[in-house]
Amino acid sequence: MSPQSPASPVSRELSRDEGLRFLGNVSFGRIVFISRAMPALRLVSHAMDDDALLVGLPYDSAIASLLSQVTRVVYEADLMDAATRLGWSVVLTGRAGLVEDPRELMRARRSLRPLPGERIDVVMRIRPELVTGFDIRAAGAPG
Amino acid sequence: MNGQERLIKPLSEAESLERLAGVSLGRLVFTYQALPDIRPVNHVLDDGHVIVRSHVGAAAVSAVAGLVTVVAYEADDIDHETHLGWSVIVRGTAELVRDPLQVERYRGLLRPWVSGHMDHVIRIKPEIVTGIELVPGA
Repeated sequence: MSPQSPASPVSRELSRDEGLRFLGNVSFGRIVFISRAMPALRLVSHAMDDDALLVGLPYDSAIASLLSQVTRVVYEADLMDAATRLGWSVVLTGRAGLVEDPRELMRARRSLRPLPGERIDVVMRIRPELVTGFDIRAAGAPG
Repeated sequence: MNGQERLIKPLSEAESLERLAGVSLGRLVFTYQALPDIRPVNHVLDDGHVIVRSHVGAAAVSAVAGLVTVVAYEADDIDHETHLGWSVIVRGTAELVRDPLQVERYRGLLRPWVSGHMDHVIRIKPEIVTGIELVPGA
């Protein structure tokens, strides 16, 4: 790293635990997948359930194809301030499966805060394997 | 739920590109070794193209090096409290900018979000542009 002036923001890589904790502080992110051989993403709502991530999804053709083919998904969430350029981003890769147990599904749905107009037909549980991220703070700000 | 009605309004392509031009942070989505990946990056719009600068190095660059690759690019401004705002997704083809003069010019326009690494300039030619606005209901 190059030396930073005292006023420069400081970027720090997040540990797995920090990354999961940060994800728990926001209620939406982006699920990333391959649809018809092309990269695709959807804005979705999420909630942490212990160390797993619950993601609400509409049931449409792209999602149906995702669910039938893919067991590993990538998820990103961030909280960035465009003006100050401070904030964080976390990218999680993990194994995904549908929440099928009716009681578990009901509980999972209640934990999600849907985006306006977001249809949630199914809930996916993602068990994190790789969690990476960064946190940019003003120099001297408490960690 | 707080009972407040909210609506999704589609944005036209022109409106979407206008929103995109008004912010500098987005997320580059690409495939690497048959798996999708996503990185937060900075962008500017230049002559109808989305130009991003990223330190992603190996992953994104080898994904787009030498050949034209399909990527997606997303930017949004959604309030974490009210969930109101907008989101734009561009799908298109990406290539590395190799001309040193262009690279230099774009580097001047783009400030990398995370500094301190070698980075690359990638040009995305939009093919499909979609956007939504999340607005309070009537």
